[in-house]
Amino acid sequence: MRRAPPIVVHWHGVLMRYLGLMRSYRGREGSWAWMFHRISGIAVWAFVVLHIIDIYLAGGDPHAYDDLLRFYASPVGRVMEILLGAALLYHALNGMRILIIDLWPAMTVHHRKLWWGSWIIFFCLGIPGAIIILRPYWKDAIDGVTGMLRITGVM
Amino acid sequence: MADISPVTRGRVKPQGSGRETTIWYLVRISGVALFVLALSHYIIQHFIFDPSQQTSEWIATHRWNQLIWRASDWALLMVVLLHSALGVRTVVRDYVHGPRARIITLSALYLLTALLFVLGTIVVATLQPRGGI
Repeated sequence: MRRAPPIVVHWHGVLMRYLGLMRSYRGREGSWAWMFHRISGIAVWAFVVLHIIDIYLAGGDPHAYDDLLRFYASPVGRVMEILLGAALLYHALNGMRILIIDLWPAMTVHHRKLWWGSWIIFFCLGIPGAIIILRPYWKDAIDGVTGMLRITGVM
Repeated sequence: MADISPVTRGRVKPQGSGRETTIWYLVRISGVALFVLALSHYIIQHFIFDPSQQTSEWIATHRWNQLIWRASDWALLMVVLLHSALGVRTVVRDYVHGPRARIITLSALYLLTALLFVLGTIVVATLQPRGGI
């Protein structure tokens, strides 16, 4: 008599299914790569739609454009720019991972290394990038400290 | 979505030389172009310059003061619209199954893409400093 197979619930798969993002869950890095690629792609596309309209305003309604740019330069705007940069960088790096495997199918066996490698590049470029975008909030503090050191004769 | 690799989750190249194969290549070629154009655009706008200085007057007099900068941003406009329209088309085809709903959704996508191309082209070709050059 054949024994009934054990019931295994793949919670990640259930989550993905209910998010409506995946229809053929097979798990592990490839699935996360695909899900992030789709989400980041849609996010960058949404910004591109906004950005073409806003740059049109630079000619069509310069005052509205300048007001919007003041928002882009605000703390909330800068955090959103960091998120945009993260989506753009992830999509670019994972796109390269896909392209490497398309052009060089033997790399398929190393696809997990390529995935983790792309995250290393992501953080090595992304963290300094985020710090540069937030420069208005630390530049004054650095200038203050160096100024104080100069006044007191330490520097 | 059976045409996705089970391992790496890249899209598998379609068979033959039909429209889907052409699109598969176009997405990849435009993707490589965007790796250079979009990332360099982000670096220029956020690292070399800062949003706090980017008024419409600054764009007209500094950012777009030479034809090469207008040309490169116009190239970015065209490539990003091609790549994103084809990408969103794939997403629509994954989730919208009714033939009528699909025609309506894709028509809206292509119409929006054409409109954005017109808006972007107008501003990159015509933006002048308010005082005139």
